[in-house]
Amino acid sequence: MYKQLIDNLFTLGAQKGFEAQEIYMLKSKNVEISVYDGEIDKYNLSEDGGVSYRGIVGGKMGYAYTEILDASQLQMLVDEAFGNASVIESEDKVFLHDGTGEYAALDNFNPSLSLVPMKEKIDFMLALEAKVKAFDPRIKNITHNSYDEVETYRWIKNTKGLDVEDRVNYCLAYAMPVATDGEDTRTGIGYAISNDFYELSVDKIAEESAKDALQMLGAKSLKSKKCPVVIKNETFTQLFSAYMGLFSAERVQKNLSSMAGKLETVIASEVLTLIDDPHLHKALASSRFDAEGVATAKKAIIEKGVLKTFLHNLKTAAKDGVDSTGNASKGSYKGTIGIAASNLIIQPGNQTFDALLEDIEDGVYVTSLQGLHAGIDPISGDFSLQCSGFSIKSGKLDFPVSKITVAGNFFEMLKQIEAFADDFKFSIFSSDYMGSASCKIGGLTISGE
Amino acid sequence: MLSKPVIKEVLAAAMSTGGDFAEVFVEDRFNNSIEMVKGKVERSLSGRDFGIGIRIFQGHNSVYTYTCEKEPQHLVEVAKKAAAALSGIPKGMGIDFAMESRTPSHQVKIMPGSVSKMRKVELMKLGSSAAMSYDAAIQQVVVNYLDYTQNVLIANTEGRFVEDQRTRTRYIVNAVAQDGERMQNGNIGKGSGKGFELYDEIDVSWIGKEAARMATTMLHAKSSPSGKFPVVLDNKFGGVIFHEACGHGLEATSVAKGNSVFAGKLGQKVASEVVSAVDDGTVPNEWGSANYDDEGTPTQRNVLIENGILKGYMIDKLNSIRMEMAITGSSRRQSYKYAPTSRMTNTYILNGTHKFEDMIASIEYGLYAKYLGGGSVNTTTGEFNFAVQEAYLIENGKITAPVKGATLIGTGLEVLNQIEMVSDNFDSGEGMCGSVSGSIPAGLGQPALKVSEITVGGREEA
Repeated sequence: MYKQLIDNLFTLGAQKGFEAQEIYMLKSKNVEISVYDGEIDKYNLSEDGGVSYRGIVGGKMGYAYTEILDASQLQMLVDEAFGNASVIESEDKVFLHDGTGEYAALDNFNPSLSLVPMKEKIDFMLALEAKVKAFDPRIKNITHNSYDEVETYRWIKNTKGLDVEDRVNYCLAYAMPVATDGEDTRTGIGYAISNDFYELSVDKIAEESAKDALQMLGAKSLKSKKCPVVIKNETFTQLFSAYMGLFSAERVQKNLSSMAGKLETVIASEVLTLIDDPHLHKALASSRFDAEGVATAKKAIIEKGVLKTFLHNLKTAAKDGVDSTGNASKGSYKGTIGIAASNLIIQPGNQTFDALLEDIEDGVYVTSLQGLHAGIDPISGDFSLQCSGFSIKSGKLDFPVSKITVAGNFFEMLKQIEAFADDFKFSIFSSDYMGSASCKIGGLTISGE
Repeated sequence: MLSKPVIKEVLAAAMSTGGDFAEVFVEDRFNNSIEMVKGKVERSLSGRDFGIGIRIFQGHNSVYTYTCEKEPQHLVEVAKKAAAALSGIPKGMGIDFAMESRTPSHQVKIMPGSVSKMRKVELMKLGSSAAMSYDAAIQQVVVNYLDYTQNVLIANTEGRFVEDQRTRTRYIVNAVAQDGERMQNGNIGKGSGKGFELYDEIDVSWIGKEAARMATTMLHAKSSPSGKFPVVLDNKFGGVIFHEACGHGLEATSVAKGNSVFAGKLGQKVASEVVSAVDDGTVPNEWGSANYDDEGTPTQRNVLIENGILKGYMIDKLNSIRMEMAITGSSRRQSYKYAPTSRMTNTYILNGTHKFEDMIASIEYGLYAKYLGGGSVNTTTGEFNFAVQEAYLIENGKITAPVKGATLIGTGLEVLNQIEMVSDNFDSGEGMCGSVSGSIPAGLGQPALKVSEITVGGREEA
C-alpha cells in the first residue's frame, strides 16, 4: 500500500542529491485492558506507526522521520535529512546494506492471537483480579494489572537492493497485588507472556503475584556488611543488562567502555557464558534481520569468562575490519542506527537453587532491585541499588529484608561470580530480553541500619 | 489542526454508546536532536510526530484510543470502535465550544526550530571544548542538544476547546575522565521552556567545565561509606528527594485507589514543620510549565504541604470523579499515545531560614550530596531511592574528601519528618519523569536541606 509512496520518496531524494536512500517503517497495533473491582477500568485500543528515512550524500548519513505517512511529508523528509547530513562532521564511513547474506527462516507471528474475542481477554483479567484477591485475606488491593497485546510490522527497503519485512506479536498479562498486615504493606508482581493467548494461566499469575507480595511481609532492614550475595534469576538479568552497552563496539570505539582492548582476555569468572541468540523460537527479541537489514546470527559474547566479540553494526564493523554481527538496532522509527543485543542467554549451572545457598553462613538473597536507571554507572562500573529479598543464615533462607542497598562494581563482580543454579528464566523486566539462572557472588556490600 | 465541526462529529461518535464524557487531543510536534562526540557532530535527527487521542469516560471507567490519520471519516470510525467497548444508551448532547482566550504566559522569543543547525553545532562546540580542555584526564566528551515544539488542541464534551504550544530546549554535556583502566563520567545539563534565547542567558562553557570537573573530581574519589547518617542535599536537582519521597505519592494516580502512603492524610502532619512544598505549572517558561495541562485545564500553583501539614493532592479529571475532589490543572501525558493522568509539573520545596554553612557545621560525620541523579519510588510502600553523582564527606563540621557510588534510600513519611533544616538558597533543576502516562519534562527544585538520618548505600565501612 505504501510502495508507490516510497518510490516517489526515493525519486525526490535522488533529485535532492542523495546517492543511496533507505526507509524503515514500523506499524503496530496495541490492545491494553485493566480491570478494577470487577469492572473494566481502562481499555486502550490503538494503531500507529511511522517511517524513518535516511540517505547518504557526500559520504554523510542524514536522518528524518514522520508519523504522517502521506505525500505531504515526502519533501520535508528529504529536506530535513539533507540538512541533517550537512552538519555531520564524523568521518566514519557509512553504509546501506545490499540485502546479501543468509537469512534464517523464522516465524514468530501467531495470526490467531488477534482473532481471540476481546470478551475472552476481558474475562481473563476479571478472573485474574478475583483470583488474586481470593488468594489470601492479607491481599487487600491490586495496584496495577493489565492485559497487553502488541503486533508489530517492520519493513526496510533501500535503493541498494534490500527489501525485508517481518511481523511479530505477543500478549502479556500481569498483576501487582498489595499485601497488608497491620501497618506493614508490601507489593508483588506476577506475569505471563506468550504469543498464544491460551498459554496464559490465571492460576499461575495469581499465585506467583500474591506469593511475591506475601513473602515480603515482616521484612526488616539489616546492619551494613560485606557478605556473599545470591541474586534471583530474573533480577540478575536486570542488573546485567543495564551494563550491556559495554559490549557495544560503538561505545568501545568512542572510548566509552572499559572493555576496550579486552577481546580474547578473561573478564569474568569461568562459570559465565553469555550468548546472543536472535533465532530462538517464541523469544521476544528474535528476528532474522537487524535494523540495517543485515542477517542475524547466534554467537557467544563471553565464553567461560573470556570476551569473544563486541556487538557490531555495519559502521563499527568496517572500522574494526570485521563483519557486522547483525546487531544494528533502532529504538523506533524515531531513532538513528545504534547497537543492541537480541535474546541474551546466560548459561545456567547444574546445581539446584537450594544447593547454591548451602555453604553460605551469612548472606543475602536479592529478589528485587530498584532504581536501575539511576543507581548504576556504566562508565566506572559502580552500582548502588535499593533492594529487597531474604537474609541467608546457615545455608538457608531466613527472614525477608528490605530498606537496604546492595553495592559493588560490575567489573569486579564479573570475576566474583561463584556459580549459577539451574533455575534458568527469561525476564521482561531487563532492558534486553535476557535469561539467567540465580547467581552466587562472592562478596558485595549491603547497607542498612 | 482539526476544525470544530469535525471534532464535534468525533465527540458525538465517541458518546454514541452512553459515555458521560469524551475528549479529543490533537498533537503536532517537531523534534530536533544533535549529538557531538569529541567535538565532531556524529548524529543529527529531526522529525514530526502527529496523532490524535480520543478518550471516553463512563462512570469511573475509561476507554482510550489513538491514531495517526486525520481524515474525518477515519476519526469517526476510530471513535465508534472505542465507544463499542462501552454499552449504554446515548444521552442527548449539545456541545457549545467556548474558545478560551487565556493570554499565553510562556512566551518564546526565538523559536528553536527557526535557528540553523550550524548555530546549534557552534553552541555545542563551546561546551565540548570547555570540557575537553579542562584537564588532561578528560578522554571523551559527548554533547547532546535537543529542542521541540509541540502544538496541541484539546476539546471535550463539556465545551472546552483550547490550543497550546509548548517549546522545550535542552543541552547536556557528558565528560569522561580516565586514568589507566579507571574511568569516571560527569554529567551536567540545562533544560528550559524558553526558546533559543536561553543560550544568551546561560554559559554553556560553564556546563562543559562543570561536567569535566565532576568527572575528574570523582575519578579518584574513594567509595562512599555505608550506613545511616545525616545528609545535606544541595539545591536545584536535590529536589529529586521530594519528587520521589513524596511527590509521586501525592498524584491521584496512586491516591484515588488508596495505593499511597499519603492517602487519607489531608490536614495531617506528614512532614517536619520546616517543610512547605508546591507543584506549580505556571512558573514562566519553566521545564514543567504550560498554559494548559493535557486535559485543557489552565495550570495552577498547588500547595501540597504547608509547614508540614498535607494540604492537597494532584488530581486529574478521571480520578477527581472517584475522589470527589476538584481537578488541579496538572494532568499530563508524553504524547497522544498516552491517556493523561495526574503528574507533577514543577515541584518545589520552598525556602527556609537556615544557612547552608550552619547545616554543614552542625554535622560531626555525614554526607554532603552536591549533585544528585535520578531515582524511583514504590508509592504503595513509600520506599524510594535516588542516586548521588557527586558527594563529599562531612567531618567535624567541614566538607572534606569526595566519595562516589552512593544511593540514598528511605521511606517517604520517615524522611519528610527527618528534614531538620531548610536553607534559603532555592534553585531549580530539570529532569525527565517516567510514569503511567509516559516520560515528561518535570521541573524540580529546593534550597539545600539537612536530613537528620538517611540510609546511604555505599561500599565502605563508616
